[in-house]
Amino acid sequence: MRPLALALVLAAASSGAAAQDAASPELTRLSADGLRAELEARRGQIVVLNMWATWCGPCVEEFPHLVAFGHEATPEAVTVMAISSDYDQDLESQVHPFLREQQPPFPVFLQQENDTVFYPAVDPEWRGSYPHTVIYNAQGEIAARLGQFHSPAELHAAVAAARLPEGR
Amino acid sequence: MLRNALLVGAALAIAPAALAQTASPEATPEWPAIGSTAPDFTLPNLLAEDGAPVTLSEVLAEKPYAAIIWHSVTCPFVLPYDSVLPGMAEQYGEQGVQFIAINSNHDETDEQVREHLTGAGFNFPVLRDEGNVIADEYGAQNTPEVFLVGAGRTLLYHGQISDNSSGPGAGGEPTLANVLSAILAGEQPPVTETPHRGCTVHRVRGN
Repeated sequence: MRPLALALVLAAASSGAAAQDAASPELTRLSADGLRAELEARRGQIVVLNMWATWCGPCVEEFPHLVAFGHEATPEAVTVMAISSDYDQDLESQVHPFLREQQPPFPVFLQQENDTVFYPAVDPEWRGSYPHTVIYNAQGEIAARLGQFHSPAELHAAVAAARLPEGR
Repeated sequence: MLRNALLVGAALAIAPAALAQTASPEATPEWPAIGSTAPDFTLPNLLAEDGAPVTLSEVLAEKPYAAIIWHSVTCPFVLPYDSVLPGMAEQYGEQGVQFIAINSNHDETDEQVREHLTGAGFNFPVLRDEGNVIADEYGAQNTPEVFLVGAGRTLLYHGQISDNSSGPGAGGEPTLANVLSAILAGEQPPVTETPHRGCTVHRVRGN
């Protein structure tokens, strides 16, 4: 197991303690370069990246399905991460309460830079429709893009498809 | 109290082997490429007393440019522009740019749009795209979302009115104004495609 993967497993193991603390979820700001590094470090894994915000109604509707997906899947070979595009003034009033309620079992970041800089790191073809979920295959290529999904099964199916050898 | 400094739980997950359906990486709606010919349209003008339709190609026979803006009267990302757009339409209209708003949201009634925009002093056509037909042809996803077209309906710019990454509103970098000013000065626009954070176009199907 690579060091980063091990670190994430340890982080996952420690997340239970964080939940018991009922602490405000820690949001790390993520830059475009930071995201690229995160994705590069996960090369070899399937990565499910969800772009969301509390100002986006469909995002709020679908988030529990992402959380369920995170819980249903077993921790190996697939990384789930979410990036919030919320505004700073909404963090205390909207974002933290929402995450306390949802208790996502995956890292949640905060978009650090403006859209023009950040979006290309997520998906060069994305122009800003929320929610937006990208599934990167083991080669780090975009295998699927999803708009709003309505069940964990949709994610499972898309991830399974991303595992298939190219052309199948 | 000790808080987990890492994050609220990092997770690694594995997908089940079952394959129910596939998701295409080409799921992103298609929009005209910069430099390609944008679709023509004829749509009723909600702000005209007789609802007289507006045809893009006829507009471009009279003015060199048309700024087509997907609009909403409820989206918080659009509302702050209501006080800005009439001024821009007047300023750039004198220089040959016709502003056109299109409403494709199935859940905003004609009367609601008329009432809201008449009160806001809109001085340019606001067109009803029944069944989001033209939104589909343009691949319009959000409100607000701008398509700037020139002679021959050539798409010159596609994206934001301004950079609202720091909050909903008309602040931020005035991207469309910068693009228009450059083009009207005979220069290359500083950008041709930008992200356009906003509300989803409320199409008849889905959403």
